[in-house]
Formats: sequence, structure tokens, C-alpha cells
Amino acid sequence: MDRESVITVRNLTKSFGATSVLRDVSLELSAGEVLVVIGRSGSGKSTLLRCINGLEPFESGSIVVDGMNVNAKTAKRSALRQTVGMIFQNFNLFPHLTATQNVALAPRKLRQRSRAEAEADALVLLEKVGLAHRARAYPAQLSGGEQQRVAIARALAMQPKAMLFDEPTSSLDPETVGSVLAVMRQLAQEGMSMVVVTHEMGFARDVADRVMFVDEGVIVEEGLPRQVLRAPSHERTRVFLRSILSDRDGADAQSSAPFEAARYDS
Amino acid sequence: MTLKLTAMALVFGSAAGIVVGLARASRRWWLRLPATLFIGTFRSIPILLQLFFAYYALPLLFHIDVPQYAAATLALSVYCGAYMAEVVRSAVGAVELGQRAGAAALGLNRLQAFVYVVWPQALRVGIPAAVGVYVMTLKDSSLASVIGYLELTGTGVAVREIDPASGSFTVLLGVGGIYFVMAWIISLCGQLLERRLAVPGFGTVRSRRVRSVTTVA
Repeated sequence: MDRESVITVRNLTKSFGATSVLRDVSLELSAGEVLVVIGRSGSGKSTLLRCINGLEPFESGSIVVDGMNVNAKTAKRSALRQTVGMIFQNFNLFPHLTATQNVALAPRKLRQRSRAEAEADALVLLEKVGLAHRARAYPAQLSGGEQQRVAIARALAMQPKAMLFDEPTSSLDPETVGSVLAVMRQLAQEGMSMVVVTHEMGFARDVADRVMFVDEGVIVEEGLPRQVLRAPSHERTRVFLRSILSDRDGADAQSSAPFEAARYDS
Repeated sequence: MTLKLTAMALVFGSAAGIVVGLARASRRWWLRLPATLFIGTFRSIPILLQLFFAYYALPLLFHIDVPQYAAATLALSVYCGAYMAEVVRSAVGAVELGQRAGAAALGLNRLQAFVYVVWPQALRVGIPAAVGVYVMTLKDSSLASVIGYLELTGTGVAVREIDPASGSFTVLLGVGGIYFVMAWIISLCGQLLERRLAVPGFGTVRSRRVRSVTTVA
């Protein structure tokens, strides 16, 4: 399986002042792959994502996205960010614009699409995430799940090669979580390369090609979902999973002989 | 006269306010520092003194002739500008950090993010405060009379001199009434602008965070 690498992170180290947040982290995302990153709050998962699309500077290491080095100059940075879309936990929709205008803004300003073209494209994307009927609504008139789906459509409008999801459903009511996960599942099936930071273990189990457990800025464990989630090799992983999984899955995590998680060369 | 003075001061003041306010909010220290000094100075010194300085001190310092209306306009503009700068800075600061992140994540550069995402929101947030500064400027324009610029108050006072006994009340009431009407018009324009720019749910009174939690499709 020699698919091209869309995102390559090598020896990434990042601190916020005196606090070390990421320590020598390396990972690789192949085209069409879905990587789910799990871990406690403050383990560095969000920071990792933000470093990948250049929102956060880092001290050492290298990140290459679709051939572009993340440390390049500003003009290139825009190209970089257009290549990898990002979905935030608190949506970050633009409240003064309708759903359609939110989705159409970047294509209009960055791809020189006319307003009519951009809004027509936007409507198609909103249809794709099931919100064509809310095209003229403002973010404040949409539920959390709807806002997040608009955010996904907005990111898709730039035709990114990969997408980063930073706890996309953590701010949502349980009822709306499903609607967003469904859209993400669909994207995965269509071959989008995705890095998803989430606590939704069901999603990790069903959709992820690989699961990575990050703790205190270090990748503790990485491998196939059924390995990492059902039979983790590291105690820290076990402890973490036990703390968030239901009883049924907790039993799975504790049972069986240690299983050597396949390690990907990074 | 008052109209002209105030109008000019508001225009220059707003322009200066936007420039200085943005400079004050900038990440570049060489923009921030002069802006902070400017704001601090001209908000701390009474407008009266600024007027005197413009009219009496500047000609001495620079050996130029400073006519009354120029001095008054300059002082009032700078005064208005300093206050507007703070309004602009805090309005821009009120826009959530996440908005910039969202815009940046799409690939918009800092200028685009500012023009299309940050500024529209800051504008809506800042209107009430701006109206306050405008009305303040209008009222303080009355002080230009002390350097001899015959604007509304000065004229009123002069008219009053004609017949201090009977004329006083009427004149002062009339002058006060005119100021009131002008201030009211400014305030009304502000409200109309707010209404025209209003976007459902994006209010300055209600917290946005509360909205998104309680809103259901």
C-alpha cells in the first residue's frame, strides 16, 4: 500500500511558554486515510491540528502538507490553508453572513468566483450536507449541528486535499452529534483524507483507518482501531479508554492478552 | 458654524480614530506605541486646553498663523479621534478570536479576514459607543467659543449680551434646544444604521454564547 502522503509531520515540538505541549511528534496521513486522534483534554491534540495548518507556530520539526512546507512564507500559507480545511469545535461561522454567504465567501475572494457562481456552488454543498433548505438562514438561527454542517460545507468549498476536525461534535447536543458524524462518515467514504480529534469512539471504531492515542504531548499508541480501542498495548491507553468508554467496551479494553499494535513508520 | 465645525471634526475624528484604533490593536509595537500615546494624551487633557493650545501655542511654536476655525477644527478632530480610536479598538477586540481562526483556516489573508469578517462585526458592535463619542464631540464643540470661534454657543452668548435681562432665558433655551435636536439626529442615525445592519441573533445585548446553546432548529 503505497499511497501518497498528504500530511507528513516529523519531530514536531511545540511549547506555550514554559509548558511543553507537543514532544517530538511524528505522523503521516496517506491519501484517503482517516486518522482519529484520541486523548485527554490538554494532551496536545488540538495544538497538533493547529500546527498542521499553520495556525500555531512551532519550535522544531517539520510539517509538509501536499508538498508544501508549513513554515513557508505568508503567501504560501494561504495556499496551504486552502489545501487543508479545518473544522472547529465552536464552528466559527461568520455570524453576519447567511449560510450561503459563509460558504461562498472564500471561493469569491480566493478563487475569483463571481457571486452568482460561488453561491450556486454553495447551494450544492449545502445540499450535500443536508441544509439546502436553510441556505438563507443566519448562524444564530441554526442549531449547533446545523452550524457545524455549514462549517463543513464552507471548508469543502475550497476543495481541500485533507480536512482537520478539532472535536467537531464536542459542543453539540447528543441528538445533533449524529447528523454531523453522518456527514463526516460520508466524506470518509468519498475518499477524503481526514484527521479527526474526537471523543466519539463509535466513529473511531467504524470509520477510522487508524487510531492514535496522544497523552501529554506524546503519541503513546497508534494502530488499527480494533487494536488500539479493544486491545491496547499501553497501560496509559487502557486507563484513558476505561475512563471514557461504556461498561461494555470497557470490558473489551481490559480483556485478552497484550496485542502488539502495528506501528507505522513515521 | 457649529454644524460645519462638528461635521468636520466628526469626519476627521472618525478617520483618525479608525487608523489610530487599528494601530493600537496591532501586533506591531511600532504602531501600537505611538497610537497608545496619542490616545492617552488627547483623552487625558481637557478639550479646553487642547483648544487653547491649538490656537495660542501652535502659532508660537511653528511660527504660523492659525485662524480660529482651523484651530478649533484641529483640536476637536484630534479629541474626537482619540475617543473614536478607543471605540474602534474595543469593537475590534470584541470580535471573537475564533472568527480570525475561522477566516485564516479558509486561507483568507489578514487583510481579507479583517475586511470581510472582523470589520463587519466590529462595526455593528461599535455603533452605540460611536454615537456616544459623536454626541460628546458635538457638545464639546461649544467650547470653541472660548477661542473666539463664533459657533452656536458663542453666538448665543453674544446675542444674549444685547439684552441680558429679558433675552437670557430664551436665548439659552433656544441654543440648548438646537444642540438637543442635533444630538438627537445623530443618535437617530445611529439607530437607523444599527437596524439596517442588524442580523438575526447577532445583537449587542444578548450574549451570543447563550444563543447558540438554547437555539434549536
